[in-house]
Amino acid sequence: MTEPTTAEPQDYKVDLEVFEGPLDLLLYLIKKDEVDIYDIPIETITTQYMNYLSLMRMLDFNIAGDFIVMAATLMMIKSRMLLPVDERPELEDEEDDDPRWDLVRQLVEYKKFKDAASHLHDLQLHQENVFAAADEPVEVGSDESGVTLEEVNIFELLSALNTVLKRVEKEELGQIFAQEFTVADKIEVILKLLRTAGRLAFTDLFNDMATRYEIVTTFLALLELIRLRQVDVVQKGEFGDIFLVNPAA
Amino acid sequence: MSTTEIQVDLKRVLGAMILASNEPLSIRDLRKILGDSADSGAREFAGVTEGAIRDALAVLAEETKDHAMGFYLVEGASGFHYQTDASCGPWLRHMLKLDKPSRLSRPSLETLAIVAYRQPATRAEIESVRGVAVDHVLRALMEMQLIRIVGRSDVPGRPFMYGTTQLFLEHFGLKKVDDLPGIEQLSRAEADRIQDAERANRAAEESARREAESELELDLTPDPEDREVGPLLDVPLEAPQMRSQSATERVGDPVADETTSDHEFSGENGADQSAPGDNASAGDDFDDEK
Repeated sequence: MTEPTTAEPQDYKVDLEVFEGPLDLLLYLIKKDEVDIYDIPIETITTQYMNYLSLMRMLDFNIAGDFIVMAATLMMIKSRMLLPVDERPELEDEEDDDPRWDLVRQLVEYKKFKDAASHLHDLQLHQENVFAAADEPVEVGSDESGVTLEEVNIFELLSALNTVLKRVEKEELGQIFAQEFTVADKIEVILKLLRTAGRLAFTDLFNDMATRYEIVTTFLALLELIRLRQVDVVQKGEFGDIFLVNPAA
Repeated sequence: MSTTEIQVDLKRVLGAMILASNEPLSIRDLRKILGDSADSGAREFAGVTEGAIRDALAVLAEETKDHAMGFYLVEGASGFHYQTDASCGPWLRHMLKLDKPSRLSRPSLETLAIVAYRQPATRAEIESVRGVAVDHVLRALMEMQLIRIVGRSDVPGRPFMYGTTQLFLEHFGLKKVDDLPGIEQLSRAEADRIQDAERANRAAEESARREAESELELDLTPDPEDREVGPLLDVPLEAPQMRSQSATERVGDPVADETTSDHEFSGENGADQSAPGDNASAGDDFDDEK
């Protein structure tokens, strides 16, 4: 993972909360590393969590306090794990030998509701193709409160971005660039590419780009397009290659 | 028409009424119409029971499904109506010139799921499950009329409690909230039941341990009063055997057991839920209140 560098001046601030919350990030990391949710390697997961947080800071996301609170919780669990059981300071709400337990319970509970939500999503997809003779089709108003990434979650996009950034890391040393690109420009570029190609690999989006600034700007443009539902992202299998496509009609 | 012929045809009359009606009809509606029709001379079904109507509709629903006519009879949240087969949706959307359907986002769906399964639920309860602030999502769901305020909790601050609406059921094609998949496992009643069981379990274990300890170190026990505090604390409790396991042994592939061992963890929100007065029945007291 990269270290946070300067925050780029942005017209477009990404509000992380409309995509995912801190528990989503933890579940993602647990799944990605294929670790046991009941036996989370807290040291590794904490490091990775902090890396993602750094990356998001570098992108100048609006990171809600909930993410910071979770970071503090992870740190606390990590430090308590280092102490022998009988030397840990008493905590009122920790009635357990394992400091991870509260978090595990929260994750498991959350996962259940995530699954319930995805079932509701399926019902919703089914219902939108059903029309009743008797009454008007049931349509709810448009939902501005969040963004659904149907197949790829934001953390996978961040992870893919990180790979791209690593590629340019060395070349960037000591260079000073005038700011040639804006997010608005890059939105145009992506839309044009997608119109001609129809489908685009995530990594191809950054093919000719040599600077971190341009990559970051392009990435933010992509997120904005996803938010505006102008672009869909799909993935070949779990943790596979990511593609950009025109949104399904 | 002979009487026998007509009685065979209750199903036909019901089917026709539902088709011609502008809105879904409940069994009660149908029985009332059949009864009232006697005034205009159509007396044949004036005396049919709701049970007979239900049976006839069940047969009709089966038949319409079997015939693959592109539509069939269903019982929705507000009654019986015909609806088109979902497989025909793409053509219908085009014919009806409908835009891309507006779908709920994942944050909204998660919040909605928690409200639906745990209703009545306060904002704090929802946030403790999702781990993020949900005020703007709740507001959006209220605007879409998928949830509504159903009362206020008795916990300090008397926060609003939210429940789902009729539109929620219709949007997801559900007859009633109990039809939500897995409602037994995710409902608050179940969470409370598990928590109570765990608390009892825990208390029993605690007292057993205390007995054992007092036998061993009778004179050394400083103040038995202190020990009483433990089991009385109003905190979520989990099954003790699971705790020791997680701390010492490595359990083989517990992720796969996630669903089966659910009840060990449902206590997560237990602290809030078991607060005085804040239980599932609390909502009933507030229905007349605004």
